[in-house]
Amino acid sequence: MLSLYIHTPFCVRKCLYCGFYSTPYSEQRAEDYVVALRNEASAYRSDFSRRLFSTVYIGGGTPTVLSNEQSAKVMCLIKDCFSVAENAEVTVEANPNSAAQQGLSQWLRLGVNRLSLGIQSFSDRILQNLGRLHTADQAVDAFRSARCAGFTNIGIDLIYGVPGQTMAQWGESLAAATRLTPEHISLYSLSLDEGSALKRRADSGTYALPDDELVIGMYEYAVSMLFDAGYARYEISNFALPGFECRHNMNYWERGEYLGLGPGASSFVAGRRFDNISDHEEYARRLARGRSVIVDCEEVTTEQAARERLLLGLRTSRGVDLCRFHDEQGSNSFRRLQASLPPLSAAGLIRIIDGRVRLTDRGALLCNEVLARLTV
Amino acid sequence: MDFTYEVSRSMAACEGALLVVDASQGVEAQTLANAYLAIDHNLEMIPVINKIDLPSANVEEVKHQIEDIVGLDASGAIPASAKAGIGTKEILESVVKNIPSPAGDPDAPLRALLFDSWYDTYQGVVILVRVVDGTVRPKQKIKLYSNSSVYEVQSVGVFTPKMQPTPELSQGDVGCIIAGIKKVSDAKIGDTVMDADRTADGPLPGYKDVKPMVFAGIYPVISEDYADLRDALEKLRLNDSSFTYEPETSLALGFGFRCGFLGLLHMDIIKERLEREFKLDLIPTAPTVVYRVTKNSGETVMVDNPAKLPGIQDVQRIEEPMIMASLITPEQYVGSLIALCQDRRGVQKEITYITKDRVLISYELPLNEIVMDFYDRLKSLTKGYASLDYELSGYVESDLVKLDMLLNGEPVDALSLITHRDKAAIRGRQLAEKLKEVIPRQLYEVVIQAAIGAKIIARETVKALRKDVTAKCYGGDITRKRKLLEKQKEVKKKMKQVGSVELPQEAFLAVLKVGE
Repeated sequence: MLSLYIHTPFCVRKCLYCGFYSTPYSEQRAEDYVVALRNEASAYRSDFSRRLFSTVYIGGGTPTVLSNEQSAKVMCLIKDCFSVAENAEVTVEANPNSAAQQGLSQWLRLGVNRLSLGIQSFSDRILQNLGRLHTADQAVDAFRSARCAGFTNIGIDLIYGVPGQTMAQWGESLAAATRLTPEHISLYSLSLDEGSALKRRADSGTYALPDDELVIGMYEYAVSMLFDAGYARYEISNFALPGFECRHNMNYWERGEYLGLGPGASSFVAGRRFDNISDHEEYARRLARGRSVIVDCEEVTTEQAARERLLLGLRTSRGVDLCRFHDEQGSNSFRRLQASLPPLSAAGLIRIIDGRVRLTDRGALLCNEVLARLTV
Repeated sequence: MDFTYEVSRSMAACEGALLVVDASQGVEAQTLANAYLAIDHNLEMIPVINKIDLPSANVEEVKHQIEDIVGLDASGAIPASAKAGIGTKEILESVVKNIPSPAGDPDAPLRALLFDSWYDTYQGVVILVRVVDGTVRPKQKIKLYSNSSVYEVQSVGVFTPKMQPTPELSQGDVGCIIAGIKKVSDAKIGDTVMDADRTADGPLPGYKDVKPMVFAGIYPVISEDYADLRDALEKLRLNDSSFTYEPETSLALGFGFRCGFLGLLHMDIIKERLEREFKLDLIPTAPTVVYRVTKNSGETVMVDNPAKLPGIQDVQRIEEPMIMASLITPEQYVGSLIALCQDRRGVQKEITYITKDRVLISYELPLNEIVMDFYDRLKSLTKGYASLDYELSGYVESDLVKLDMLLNGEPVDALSLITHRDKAAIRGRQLAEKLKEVIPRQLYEVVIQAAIGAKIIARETVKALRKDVTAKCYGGDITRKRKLLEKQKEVKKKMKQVGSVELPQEAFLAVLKVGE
């Protein structure tokens, strides 16, 4: 499967926990960006002329800060340069403070059929702690606006493990989330990403994540609470009503191919992983001169491919298909993997059912530890 | 300190010595120890004050120290700087003028003092000798007195400073002999070289067979490096016969070597060379001294490894080696040094003001109290100003016990140590705390216990790891995630598996760092 990712590097303000590349929105910057994006897409046009994209994901940053005219241009350049499947999943990310109903309707008209809304929390205090610009009420309003605009597939994000957050607050946020009945819910344990403001505070000793036991409690509570509300966990951090799993993200976890456009976007095409330059000005400058914006390119070796297969596949509830692993990686690698499974099985971290290796609930929380013990 | 015997043999080969004192540091404990050694050998001493080019140099003060502390007339001390080339000529003139000519009988049977040797890849062992009586020349058959082995001399020479072959070496000469000796361990320092056909009546005085005093296990971090470690030890041994090693197996660390050293300095040099020159990643176990254990059966065994200490029910008594330590320190640190020595079971012998602000402290101390971190503590307590010298003073009976560290109930051999009963409890507690710090959380809880025999004296717990998962893993995260995982696997590979517990290298070093 082939996916397309478009990175929009603009935010009204950067959130404290965010390590992604972004820059404040300005009319001129966004104009330059859209021109550069078209240049980049055009350069790939012939290479991908015979290929069909099954999903499109417009992420960021905050794509919904773009003006109606700019968003039209983005959607237009996608259609001009690439073939997108009729039934493709086309997602746009939005923040509650930049999701006016009129703008959302416009994205729908342009062919977007899925909305990912970064609500993060239904507690104003927690939202403030995270450096978010919206309130809980605004989040609810934004969700309702999206429904009114006609979105029938909406995903929301929530963050837990925020310093100061209590179990009770977390329960309330989850309840508020399920009351809105989104099709998809992502739950992220707050992490200190490189390059984020919180990471810098933590390094200087003025900030600390809450105790693991509390964070585990929050996760375990959420899994059972969402299960009761009809949401199945199909990846460590992702939950969906039946049939609403995010196909775009599933493609990442299946090691499918994807082309990323925009500053800082990553791609995986023809066995190579490569990244675009992050700086949006340099990105635009290089494209204006017809130069490549790729800064890191790596051919994935067979062994690395095997590791990726495990580190991605084990995150999903489907797990890793052993037969397929054998076919892809060969019998030596397969035998090594097989030999490393029994102790993990005995420790209750994995289960092998129908030829698939899956993490148990305990194993999901210890995913990295499991991966470090698997040999390929 | 460690090399006192070697130094004494070099002195026995001379009629005089230069007493070189650093113009900024002044007289140190080892200056004094070596000066006394020279006095014992009736050497004519010429005081030289070096490094006078340093801004902190104080030649007059150092002269006073030499007179007050060493008791040597310093009026003729030569100010010098080896770096700036100052004083070299004056020193050579003084050697010619003041140092007596060698005595000895050129016609008597050959007697030469062997005072150094090294291994040369092309020529085999090269020995350095001082000819006391007689003559040695190529083709002559020589005999090494201590082991009666006979060799034919291939060549002799002197150093100028490059080796220069000469037709012969005779009474009073210092030079080298190459005689097809295979191993440096056959050419023992202090031995007497004789003519095999015309044997002298007796050897030169002062020969001792030196034995390692401090032992430690040395293990490769990665077991595949074992062969490289063996080769490296073999190469070091080629040039250093006082260093010993033999294969040893530890349940915790796998295959490694039990190494013997003359002392702490010697051990540090060897470890440093293994790491620097041979680029080996090593786990040293805690250094231990050699205990003399008398069993109930009356049998006496020398124990250089805590793991080999006989069971308590079989032991009648344990004796440990003692040292006489001399510390020279500026007076403001006297209090803290006395506290340190008392803490290490020391018995004060003497405190003397050798100048108005420098103090000589003499203590008798158990060697096992100084093998770990005494020297580092000494230096840090005195901002580097105090100096230490010691010599062995014999064995003394002591109430010693074996302290075991247990992980989930299993003793870890490489973490055991022998300590005085009074100190076992605190050491056990410190070690358990330190291990808790360095053992990462694992899939299961790890219980750390310190025990003497069956009695548990300390307990700590490393809680089970419950959460190690990345929150997000999307398109841009995959390469980074994979690289992190590869790193995590590398770290795992270096862990030592002890029963169900994975131990990092730091856990074994913890024994060395307790109390810091």
